[in-house]
Amino acid sequence: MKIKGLILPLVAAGCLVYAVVSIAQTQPTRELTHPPSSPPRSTFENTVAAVGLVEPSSEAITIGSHLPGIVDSVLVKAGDPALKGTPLFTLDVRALKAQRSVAAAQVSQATAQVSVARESLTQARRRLDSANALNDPRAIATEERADRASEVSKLEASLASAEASVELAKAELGAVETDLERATVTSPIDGRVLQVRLRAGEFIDGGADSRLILGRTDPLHVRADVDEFEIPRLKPGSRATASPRGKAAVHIDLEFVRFEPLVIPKRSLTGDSTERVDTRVLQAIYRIVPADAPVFIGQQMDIFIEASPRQSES
Amino acid sequence: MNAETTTNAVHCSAIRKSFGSGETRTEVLRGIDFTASRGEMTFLVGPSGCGKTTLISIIAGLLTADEGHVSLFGEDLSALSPREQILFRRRNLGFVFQQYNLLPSLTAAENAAVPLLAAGMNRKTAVARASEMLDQLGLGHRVSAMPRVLSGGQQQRVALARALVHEPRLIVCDEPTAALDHKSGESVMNLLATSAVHPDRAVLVVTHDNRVFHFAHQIAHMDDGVITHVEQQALNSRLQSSPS
Amino acid sequence: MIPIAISMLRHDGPKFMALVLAVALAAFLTQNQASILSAFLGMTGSQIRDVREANLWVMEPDTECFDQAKPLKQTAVQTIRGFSGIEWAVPVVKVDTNARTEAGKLSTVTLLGVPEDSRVGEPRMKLGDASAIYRRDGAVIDPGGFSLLFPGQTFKSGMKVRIHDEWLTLHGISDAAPPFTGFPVMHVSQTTAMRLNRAEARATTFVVGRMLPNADQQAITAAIRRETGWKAMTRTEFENASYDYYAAQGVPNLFYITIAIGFVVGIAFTGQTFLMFVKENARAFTTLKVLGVTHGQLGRMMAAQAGLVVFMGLGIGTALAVGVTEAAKLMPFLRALYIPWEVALACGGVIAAVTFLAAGFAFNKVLKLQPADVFRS
Repeated sequence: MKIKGLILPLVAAGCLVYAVVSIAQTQPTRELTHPPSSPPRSTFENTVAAVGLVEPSSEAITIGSHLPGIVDSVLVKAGDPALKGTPLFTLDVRALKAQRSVAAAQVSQATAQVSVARESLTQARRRLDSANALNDPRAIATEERADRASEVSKLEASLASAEASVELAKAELGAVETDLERATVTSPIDGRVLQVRLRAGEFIDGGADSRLILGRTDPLHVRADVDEFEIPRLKPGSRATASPRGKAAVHIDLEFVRFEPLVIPKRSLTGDSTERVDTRVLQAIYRIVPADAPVFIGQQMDIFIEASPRQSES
Repeated sequence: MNAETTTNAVHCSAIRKSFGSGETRTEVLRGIDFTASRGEMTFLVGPSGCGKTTLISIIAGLLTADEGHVSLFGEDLSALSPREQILFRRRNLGFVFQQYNLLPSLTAAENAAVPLLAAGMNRKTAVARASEMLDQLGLGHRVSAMPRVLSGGQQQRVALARALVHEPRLIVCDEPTAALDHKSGESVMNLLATSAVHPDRAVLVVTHDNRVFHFAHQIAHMDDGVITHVEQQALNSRLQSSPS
Repeated sequence: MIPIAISMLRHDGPKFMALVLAVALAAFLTQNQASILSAFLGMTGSQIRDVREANLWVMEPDTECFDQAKPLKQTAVQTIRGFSGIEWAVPVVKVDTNARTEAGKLSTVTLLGVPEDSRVGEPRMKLGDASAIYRRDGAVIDPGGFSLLFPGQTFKSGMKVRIHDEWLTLHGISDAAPPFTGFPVMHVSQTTAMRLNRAEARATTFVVGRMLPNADQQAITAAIRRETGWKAMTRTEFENASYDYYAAQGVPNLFYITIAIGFVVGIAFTGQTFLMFVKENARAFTTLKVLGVTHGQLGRMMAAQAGLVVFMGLGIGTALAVGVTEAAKLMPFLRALYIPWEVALACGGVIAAVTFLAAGFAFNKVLKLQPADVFRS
C-alpha cells in the first residue's frame, strides 16, 4: 500500500526533474563570444577610422624606355636596391653599333677629303705665287694670273666644305653614340625595384609600359581613404596607427605627411567591377615610422587616426 | 465556582432555539433546563424530531441557542470567540456518531489519532497512543485496517477510540447503536460504560434504542422541545440488566 | 494534518487523477503552444543571435528586420569604428539570391559573407570545418537548407550549388539557427558574397560591432543615430525589433487562443473537480470541523492538496511538453524549438496560481459546511 502509493508521486517527481534538467540544458546560449581572430581596434580615445594601401614614399614609378626596341638584358631583380644611375635594362644595340661604324667611316672619309683639298690649295697657291713672281706681262699672260688666283679661291672654299663635312660626320657619330647610351635605362632616383615584368627578348615600345616599377621604400607611405563626412574631425599632423588586414594585434605608428588636395570618389578595394561607388573620400598620406614594419607595398591596412571629439560627444 | 458547577459537567438553562422565519418558523427547543453530571452517563431519549439533536448540537457548541445559557464545566460557551470555541471543543469534547464518521482514507489508528493530530501532536506519537487506545477497546489487531474492511461494530469502536484518545471531559454520543445489530450495540455500550465513564468526565448519549437504556445513570426524556421528565437509575438495576 | 489531507486526496483516486491530468493537460497545452510561438517568432532573430560576437547592430533607417535590410555605404564600417566606446566593428554582407543544384532544385537562399580577417559570424558546425568557407567557392549550409535543396540525400563534402554562373562547393553542414523565412542559409567568405552580390549596388548590409564592456550602450547607439542618421541597436533591441515586425503580422493571435484555452481548461476543470471533491468529502470535512480542526488547519490541508496536484500535474505536463519538443526537434526545420525557461516558469506559475485559486473556491465551500450537520445521517 505504502510503496504503491508512492509510485505516482515518484513518477511525477521524475518527470519534473527531467523537465527541469532538459529545459535548463536546451536554453540557447546568448552570452557574447570573442571573434575567432581579433578585428582591428582603435588605440585612441577619439578616432577617425579609414582603410588605406601601403605605397612607396615616391609613389610607384613606372619606368619607360627612351627608345623602342628589343630588350637585350634585364640587369635588376624585383627587390634590388637601385641608386640613381644604376642601369636597369639594356636594349639590343647591334643596329646602333653598325650606324656608329658607318658614322666613324664617314668621319675618316671627310677627314681625308680635307687633306686632299688642303693639298690642292697648297699647289694652287704655289702656282699663283710663281705667276706673281714673273713680273713680266710677256712671260705670263695677265689672264693666266687671274685664273690662278681664282683657282686658289675655289680650293679654299673646297677645303672649308671638306672641314664642314668632318664636323657633320663627327656629329652623326655623336648622335649614334648618344642613342647607344640611351639604350641602357638607368634608375632616376635612389629607390628599390618593386616589380619586374620585363624579360630579355621582349619588345618595349617606349610608351607608358608598366613592366618595371621602381619606388622609394624607405620610408613607406600609406594612403588612407577618409569618408568626406569625417573631414571636419581630421587635424593635420595628428597621430595615427595602422593594422595590416587580418593582423589586428599589430599596431604600426604612422606620421602625418599631407592631405591630397583633391577629394575623389572612393576606389573599390574589393576588386569587384560590379561594385558601384557612392562615397567620396579625402586621401591622407602617412609615413610608416618603423623601418622594419611587417608590411608590403599594396597591402590593405585598417587605419585609426586620432581625431577631435564629435561636438555632441565633448 | 460554586459546588453545583463543579459537579455539573453540563448545565443548560432556559434554552430556546427555532429554525426558519415567518410562516415556516418552527420552535425546536422551548425552554430546556438540563444538567449532566461528571462520572455519570446521561441519556437523552425521545421520539424523532423532539429536538434531541439540536440540544446536543448546542451543548457541543456546534449551534448557538436563541435564548438561555449553556455552561460546560463552568465555562460559558457563548462568551468564547468562534476560534476559542473550536479549541475548547478540541480539548474537552469527544464525539461518537451514528454513522461512525471515520475518514475512509485513514487506517483505524490514524482515524483514532485525529484529535491528537489536530492538537498538533507529532504523527508517530499520536498514532502510537491511538493504537494503545484501540488495544484497550479490543481492536489491537486491526490498528492498520482501513475502515471499509471493518464491521460496523469495529468501526464504532474505532470511533469510540477517537472520542477517548485525547481524554476529553465530555463525550457526546449521537445514536451510537442505531446502525448496529443488538450484539454489537450492546458491546459498544459496554465499552462506553467501562472505558468512557470516569469520575471527571460526563458521557451524554442521545438514543431512542431502549435496549440500551439500562446503561444510563440518568435518563432525560424529551418531547416536542421540552424535557418531560428525568429519571435516575440505581446502580444495581443497571448491573442486573447488564449482560456480562 | 497535512498527511491526512494528502491521504484524503489520494484515497479519491479518480478525482485525484482527474485533477492531476487537468493540470498536466493545461501545463502541456500552454507550455507547448507558448514555446512554439516563442521559438517560431524567435526565429526572426536567428541570424542576429548567430553573430555571437556582436552586441551592436547598425543599419539603414529603413531596415525593420534582418530579412528586409537596405544596405549601408561601403565606408559605414569605418564610420562606426570612429565612435567612442566601440571596441571593434566589422561589416556583415548578406546576399539574397537564387541557388540551383545539379539536380535542378531551385530555391531562394541567404548568403552570409564572413569577413576573412576577423571571422566574426563564422558558424558553428554540425559537419565539416568552418574554415572551408574561406576557400574560393567554398560554402557551408544549414541543416534545414540542405534538406530543402537536397531532399532525402545525405551530405557529402563536395556537393555543388550554382549561384548566378558560379558553382559553390559545400564543405559542411553548419549549426546556423533556422531563419524565419525558411530559406537555406549559406555561409561563404565575404569576398565570395560580394562577388555574388548582383542585386544591390552596396555590399555592406549591416555593420556589427562590440561595445566596450563598461560602456553606456544606450549612449553609444544614441550617438550613432544622431551623428549618422542610421539605426543603431543593441543585439537584444534588434532581435526584439525583428520579433515585433513579424509579431505585428498577427500570427501570435492563433497561439494566444490556444494558450487561453489551456488556462481556461485548467481553471474550469480543476475548479470543478475540487468542488466535487469537497462535496463528496463533505462528511469528512464536517467531522474534522466538529473534532476541533481549525479553519487555518483546514486551509493548510486544502493548500497541501492543491500543492500535490500542482506538483504532480506540472511535473507530468511539463515533461510531456519537453518530450514533444525534443521529438519535434529531430525535424530540421523545427530544430530551433525549445521551451524557454521563462515560458515554463510563467505557464507553471499561472497554472499553479489557477489551481490554488480553484482550491480556494473549494475551501470556501468547506468553510460554509455546518458542523451541526454532522448529526444528520
